[in-house]
Amino acid sequence: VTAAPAGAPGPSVADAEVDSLLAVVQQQADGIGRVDLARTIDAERRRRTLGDPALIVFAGEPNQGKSRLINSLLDRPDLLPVDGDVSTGVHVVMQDGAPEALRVFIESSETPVPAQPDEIASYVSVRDNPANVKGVRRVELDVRSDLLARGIRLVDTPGVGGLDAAHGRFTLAALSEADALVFVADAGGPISQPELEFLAKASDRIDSILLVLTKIDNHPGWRDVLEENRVLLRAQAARLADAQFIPVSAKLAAAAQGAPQGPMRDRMRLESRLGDLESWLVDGVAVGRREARTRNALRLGCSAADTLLAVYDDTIAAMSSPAGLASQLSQRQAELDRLKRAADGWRSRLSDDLSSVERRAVSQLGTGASAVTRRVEQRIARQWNAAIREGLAHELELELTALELDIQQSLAGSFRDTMRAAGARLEISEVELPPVQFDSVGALAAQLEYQSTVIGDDAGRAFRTVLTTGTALLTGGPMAIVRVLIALTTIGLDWGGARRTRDQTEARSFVSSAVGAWQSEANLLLLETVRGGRNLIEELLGAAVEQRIATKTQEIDELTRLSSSQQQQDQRRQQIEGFRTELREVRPKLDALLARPAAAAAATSAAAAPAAPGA
Amino acid sequence: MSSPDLPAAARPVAAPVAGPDALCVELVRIIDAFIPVVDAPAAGSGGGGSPNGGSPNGGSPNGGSPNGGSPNGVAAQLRQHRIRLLEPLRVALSGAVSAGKSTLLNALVGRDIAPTGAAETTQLVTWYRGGDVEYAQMRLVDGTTRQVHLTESGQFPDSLDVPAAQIESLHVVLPSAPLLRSMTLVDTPGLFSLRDENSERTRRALSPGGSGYPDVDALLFLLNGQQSEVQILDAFSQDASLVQAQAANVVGVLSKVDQVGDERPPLDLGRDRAARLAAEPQLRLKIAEIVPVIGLVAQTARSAQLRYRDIEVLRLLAGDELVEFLLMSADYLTESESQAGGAGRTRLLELLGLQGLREALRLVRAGCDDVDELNAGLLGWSGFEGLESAIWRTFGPRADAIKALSAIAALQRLSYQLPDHVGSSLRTALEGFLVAPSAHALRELWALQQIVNGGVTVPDWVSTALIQIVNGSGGHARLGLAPDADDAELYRVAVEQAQRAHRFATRPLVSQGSAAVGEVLRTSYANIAAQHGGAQHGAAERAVDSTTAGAP
Repeated sequence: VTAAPAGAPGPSVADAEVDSLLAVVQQQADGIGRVDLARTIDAERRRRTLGDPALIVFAGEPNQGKSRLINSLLDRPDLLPVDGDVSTGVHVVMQDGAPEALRVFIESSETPVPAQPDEIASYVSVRDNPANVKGVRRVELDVRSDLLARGIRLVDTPGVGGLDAAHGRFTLAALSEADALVFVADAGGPISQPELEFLAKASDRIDSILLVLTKIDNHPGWRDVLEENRVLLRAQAARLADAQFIPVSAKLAAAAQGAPQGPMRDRMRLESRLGDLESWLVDGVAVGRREARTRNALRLGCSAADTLLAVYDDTIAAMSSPAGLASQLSQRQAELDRLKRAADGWRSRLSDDLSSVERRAVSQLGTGASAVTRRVEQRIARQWNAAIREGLAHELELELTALELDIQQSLAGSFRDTMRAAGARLEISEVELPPVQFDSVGALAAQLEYQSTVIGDDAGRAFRTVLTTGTALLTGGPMAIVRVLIALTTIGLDWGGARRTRDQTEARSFVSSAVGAWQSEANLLLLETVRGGRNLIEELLGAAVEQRIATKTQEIDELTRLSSSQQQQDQRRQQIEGFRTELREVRPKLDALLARPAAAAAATSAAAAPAAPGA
Repeated sequence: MSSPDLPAAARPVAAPVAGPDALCVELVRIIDAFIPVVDAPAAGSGGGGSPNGGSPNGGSPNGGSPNGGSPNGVAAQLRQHRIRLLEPLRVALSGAVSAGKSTLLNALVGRDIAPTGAAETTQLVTWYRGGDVEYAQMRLVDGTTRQVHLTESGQFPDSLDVPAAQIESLHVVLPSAPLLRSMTLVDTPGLFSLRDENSERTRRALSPGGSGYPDVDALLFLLNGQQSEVQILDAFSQDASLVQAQAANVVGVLSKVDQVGDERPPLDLGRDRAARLAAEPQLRLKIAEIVPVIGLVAQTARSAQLRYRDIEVLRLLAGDELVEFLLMSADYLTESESQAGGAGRTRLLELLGLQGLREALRLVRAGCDDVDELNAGLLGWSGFEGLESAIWRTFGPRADAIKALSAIAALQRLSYQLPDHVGSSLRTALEGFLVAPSAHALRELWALQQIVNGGVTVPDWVSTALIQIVNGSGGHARLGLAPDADDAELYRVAVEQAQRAHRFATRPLVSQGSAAVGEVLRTSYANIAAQHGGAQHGAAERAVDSTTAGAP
């Protein structure tokens, strides 16, 4: 059929030039200690040499019709779950493959859990996997598809800008490996500020961006919206001013798939305009995916070069006057001191905070438990009959469950507040930390594994408590979840024991021993939970602080070295001026390469790729 | 913000004393007692502010001279508060660009007056009030006003003869809309607009910096489940100018549920989404209730725009063998060569949308041949009634308390601009007002406000219970009981809850703020218990006698 193998590596003049230019930027970034920049450029250079299928990410706000669009593209209306009330909560990578298979990657595990393709909704949809309680990190789906066979992988992503902030982060993470972005917005209204901000962020790294206007079947005014969008983009996002904007109707495409052969079907197929989208995916990205990767790398090279040039200008300006250097140094030193002072105290401060959280929880537990005992005992004392005896266990269970939920909720809130406060003292905003979710898990208990134990001696065999594995667990991957105090649920009180009580005295002693046993068990679990929460918070904040201190120290070392000796300073200045001169030459070349007409670029790619299947 | 310069006939009439607005009327008495005191020292200081209430400068003071500082300015502000307290509740329609605010407004007033369309149509803040005479005017940035002549069909003209940049706001009085007798509606340009001047206008209308008085009392917030919407609600809750008990004064509207998918009836789907959104932790405390509505169809049905010729077109369409194909896409309906209905189909599509058109076809096929019947059927299908009752439920019983609470906050701020002894006696008067037993509704709102703006952290059951108390009307709703529960049951539950709230308020290690919230809650339950046969039961006294004011 068509050229699947076009992405294979191979040398060419332009190719070598691109790589050498990028290498210059990378080396310079390394040379002045911007390891972060160097690392991303390196990754892009590597990716350029790969011939694997193009990774095309579909992103946009929730409920714009991303999943539906992908289903239509793959001729599979039921592949991804679609319903106005269901949205995608984790990203799904689709690639060509037979037999069809679903692989689910849970938390930090590298070994996927095999699953049936038709079970996909239970992992990816927000309705069946709310707040991603199943800890799904990513889902891979092998699908038999002619489109995918042409060198394409499609990624469906959770909507950005939705209520669950984790969704947006998932999507941005997916973008960091993407070769191209299909931005999906529906025809219900013009593009909004948050959508444009997302596009701006994405276009820093991704050169190939296609804009798609969905649901044109349902909006008679879609042409106006499309025009308005174009005007807005021209005015506010120069980089995207000339990006293609394709209006599509996934619904017409799906209808065409179901229709009998004939002119009607052809017409629906044509007017769905999915063909335009397909040809962009194939001819615009997949065929020239090497070119797309090159352009992404160039795009990154440009922005990295601009960053470096700004740094050079600042440094040289500072070095030109001794006072400039000195003031920069003292400023950095003050920043570091402040950071260290904060860093010295924060662990003990956190410990203090958390031990008061613990104290509060333990006392809440204590007062709560004795209040439960008192209430139930009073009721027994007031009246005693068979019905009350029968209802005793149930009543206790209700009381204790209510207490548990209260404690769980206040504990989850305290954890959240403590972490926020500790972060604020360190001037670390929540954005800089990996997403953490503090859950009270009462409602989700059914999804966790249970381990039943029986506690208490025979006479006081009051009830069984239920333990779960892991009270506070840090799951790796893009999402950390702390599960607060899930262990207490008193699933089975010893109903028999309650029924065997003969009179009020026995019943009262049953109650107090049952609550007592529950309380001591709960106490242990509470302590364990707090400890787990503390470890997690410490780990997250600690890493962020260390990173900060390391960067600052490095800057200071550098400045100190410079100010200590005129000779070194001169050397350094020479080096940076050299860098700057070199980079000023490189920068326009990068631009020129980016500005190459697509046809020429494709030609180089084609020349560069003598038919060799993807590595 | 002052009341606009409307013809006297169009001014709303003050509510009778001891009516449902008792709190506001009481506050007006306090203000009346202070106006002469404040006026006195200003007598010699010129300016000649005639005490006619409203606009002492002849023109509108809004945005122009804030009058801060001088006692005379304070007196003018006091008069403005006085007027506001006797006016209907001000409810703004707010939401993102193209969320359907104007469409919803038209549906609410039952008339196709605000311009609507796919792109950004509303670029000016527009006030809709009730009154006796239909009247429209624009207020210009320079403080002057000009009359606006509506088109023959009662719409705003396509272009006003003044550049938009010079217009501060539009004001309309509509005698025909019953809703406007109870509240003033404010249509606003979309938020998150890429046309910056529009978002700017909205921000100005919703939070007039420094005016010291909220421009609106409550919100109809059109939402879609976006993070940015939560940010807006957060911003409102930090803005001193809107009463912050959002769980009581914000109704969320999912207004385009027909545009998400068509696997299920749109209202069903909308209800599921609304329920899911309402349970979101980020929205739970910020919105009283979320209701789905199909705005476009509600607008069309409410403003009775369908004609017999539309039914003819629907009949033709129903008989067209290609109908299923045509209904696949808006473009097919409007462009197809098939002759059934011709231009009439485009009109129907504009009035009803694709799914609404399908529903209209279904009604016609089922034998509907009367315009009123068709309108009624479509109105029912649109979910408008659910929205209307949510608005009454949420804003109706509490309009008095919401207005009073925002006035108290503003008056407290204002008191610091007065001479010390006058200011402190105003504050004393306000505090006395707040702790009076009759002001318990205010304290409930106050407690909710503490939770919403994060000043007090309480367990979920407390916030849930408080929201129920504040939002419910009648003992059953306030306790969350089924309407058929009898007095004994009501009494039992109320006492139980009062005890639970008491335990919460008095437990060790509880913070002062949450103890106060617990006390308010306990008093509310004790009052319910007392109303439902508490007198016969000894326990009622126990529950009630420890009642102390939980006021700030």
